[in-house]
Amino acid sequence: MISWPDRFPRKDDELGALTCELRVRVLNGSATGCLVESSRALMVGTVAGLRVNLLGREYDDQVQVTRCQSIAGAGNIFHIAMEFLSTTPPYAGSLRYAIHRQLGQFGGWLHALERVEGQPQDLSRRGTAGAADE
Amino acid sequence: MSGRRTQSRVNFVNSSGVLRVSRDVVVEKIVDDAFVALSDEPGIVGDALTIACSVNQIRETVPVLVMASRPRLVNGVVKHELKLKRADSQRAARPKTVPPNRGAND
Repeated sequence: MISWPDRFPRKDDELGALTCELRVRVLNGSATGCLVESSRALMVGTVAGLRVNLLGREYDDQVQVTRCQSIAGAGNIFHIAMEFLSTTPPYAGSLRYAIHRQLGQFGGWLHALERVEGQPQDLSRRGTAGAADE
Repeated sequence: MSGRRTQSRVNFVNSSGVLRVSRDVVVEKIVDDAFVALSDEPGIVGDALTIACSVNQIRETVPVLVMASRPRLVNGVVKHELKLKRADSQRAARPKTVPPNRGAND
């Protein structure tokens, strides 16, 4: 049986989520993260969802703030560096996928398949299976 | 550079975006078009936010405005009490447009 101590919310209190939407301008990006410009500072470690409009298409991804610095002489302008939180492989609508395409790379994850008895395991070929083997 | 950048980068031009930052809160009271929520972080008065919580056992996402934010001690920990008001004018205005003793005949 689970007993809840008194310090937890009372029964009539509800848990909720408060969401803030912050307009940003994406300056640049790499395979691991991107740099955005914002009018508000964010704490390092903040996890957020980033949605970007690139050439009329929307891309999104989950990110975590790694650095935030104000731009001297620019008023309330902050440069926020963030890295992608990859909990899923890059898919067609993800920002990681768009950046990989721009860089001319193929984004993907390497999945270790179940080992088959008696056969050598070559993980480096699994990600491109089919394309190179044919 | 400090040598931090080891990956090649793509520069974006005219790329606007939206960053959605969520935080957990405890919703203490829901009265008409107002909410009182306890948060770990203070709020900024006038900020437009969205709150997702259960209203009458139904999960709702409601746009709100921060009306007030004040620190409060909860079990020895400083929390922030946020007073929030519904920002969707239609829902907020509904009680004012319907007379109190109407409805039985409708």
